[in-house]
Amino acid sequence: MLNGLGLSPPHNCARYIGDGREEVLSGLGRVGGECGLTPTSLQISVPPSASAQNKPSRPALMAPAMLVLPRSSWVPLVRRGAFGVRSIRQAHGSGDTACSQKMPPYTNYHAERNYPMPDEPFCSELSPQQRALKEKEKGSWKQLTEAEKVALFREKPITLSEDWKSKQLQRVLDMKGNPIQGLASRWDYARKEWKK
Amino acid sequence: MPYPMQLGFQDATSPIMEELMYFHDHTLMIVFLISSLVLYVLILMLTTKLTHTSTMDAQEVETIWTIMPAVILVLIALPSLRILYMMDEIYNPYLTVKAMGHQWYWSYEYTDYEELAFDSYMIPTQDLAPGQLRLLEVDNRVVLPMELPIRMLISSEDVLHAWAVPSLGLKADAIPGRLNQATLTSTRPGIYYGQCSEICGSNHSFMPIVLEMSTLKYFENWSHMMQSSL
Repeated sequence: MLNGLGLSPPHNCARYIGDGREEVLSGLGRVGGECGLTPTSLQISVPPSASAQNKPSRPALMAPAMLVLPRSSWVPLVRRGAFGVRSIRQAHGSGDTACSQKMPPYTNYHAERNYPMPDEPFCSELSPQQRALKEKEKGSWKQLTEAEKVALFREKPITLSEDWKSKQLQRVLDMKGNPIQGLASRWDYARKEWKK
Repeated sequence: MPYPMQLGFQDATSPIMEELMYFHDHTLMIVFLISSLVLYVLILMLTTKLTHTSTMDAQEVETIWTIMPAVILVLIALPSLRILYMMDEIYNPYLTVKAMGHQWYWSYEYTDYEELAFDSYMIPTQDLAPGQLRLLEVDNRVVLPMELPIRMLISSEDVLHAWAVPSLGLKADAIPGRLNQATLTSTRPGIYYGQCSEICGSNHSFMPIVLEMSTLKYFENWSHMMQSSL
């Protein structure tokens, strides 16, 4: 997650871009034998090149982290559809039944407990600049610049910017939110200022 | 909607919520009195060098501090039961709206006069217009006429959810296979927000409820417009 600084990521952490394909792909036969898991009845669609060359079947949509981690950790996620980009309505179809496929997160955050292995995988090998930043993180955080903070952690949502907060306050006052004892009751609408 | 540094409830929009606020004030006052009394006695006990080791029995004070809590509990229970029964009164609702919970959105059906049904999804943060509230805005609000009693029938299509709007004092579980009824009367127009209140999966925090209470004429125009465009 150190891309914000413009540092080039290490070679085995290249950015993964999903292409929105619907099918969940996994090399079930080989994986099942390897991990002792029972194969499910998911639709398998193996790219023709792989089968033509008789290579072991792999998921066509792979995050680079999958090369590093053991298969047993990410195959259950592949089975449950954690890979691939889909919109909420697509995943639900007509909304009749609960869908067991993973949904993309609603927020801008990329690190979420309920959406593991996001599109930007966590890196285990750091470049020298990234390592220097991690050392700097061990000191006082007041010395980190804004860009470094974003590189280390996630960004604050846009709704916490001053501009947005003032527009939001104006909107709440316009719709007279809580006019009896709450926020709008403390605003003087005639003089357009806070009541003294 | 909630506002920064809020300490108490959101302002009441329905008469039931006003009653609940009075009841809460009454009960909280009792709680503060008891707590401050206990704290005071505790501090007295801990800050004295006097000792008294020969107490055998104290029938009088024991009687008092058995009867007094019973009286206090009755004083709390009577208003509580009164409001409980008041919440269940049905007084000729003008309209019935069905709110169905799904994973992870609400769908509303106005089937009294026309067949109007629509889904209400949260607007993701990146799609918000400047000034909108994060994680609270939806694409299709539930428009309702104000100052009229409205019956809400709440249920779910898959897992447990709960339909809650704090400023109206409403919360009802959405249980699959069951209809829960709540009556809604708003005394003023405005936009009122609520959120799903029963854990229902990964996007449980992201399925809000937005009610837009307006005049009857606006409501009729809106429902006609929604009906023809959906």
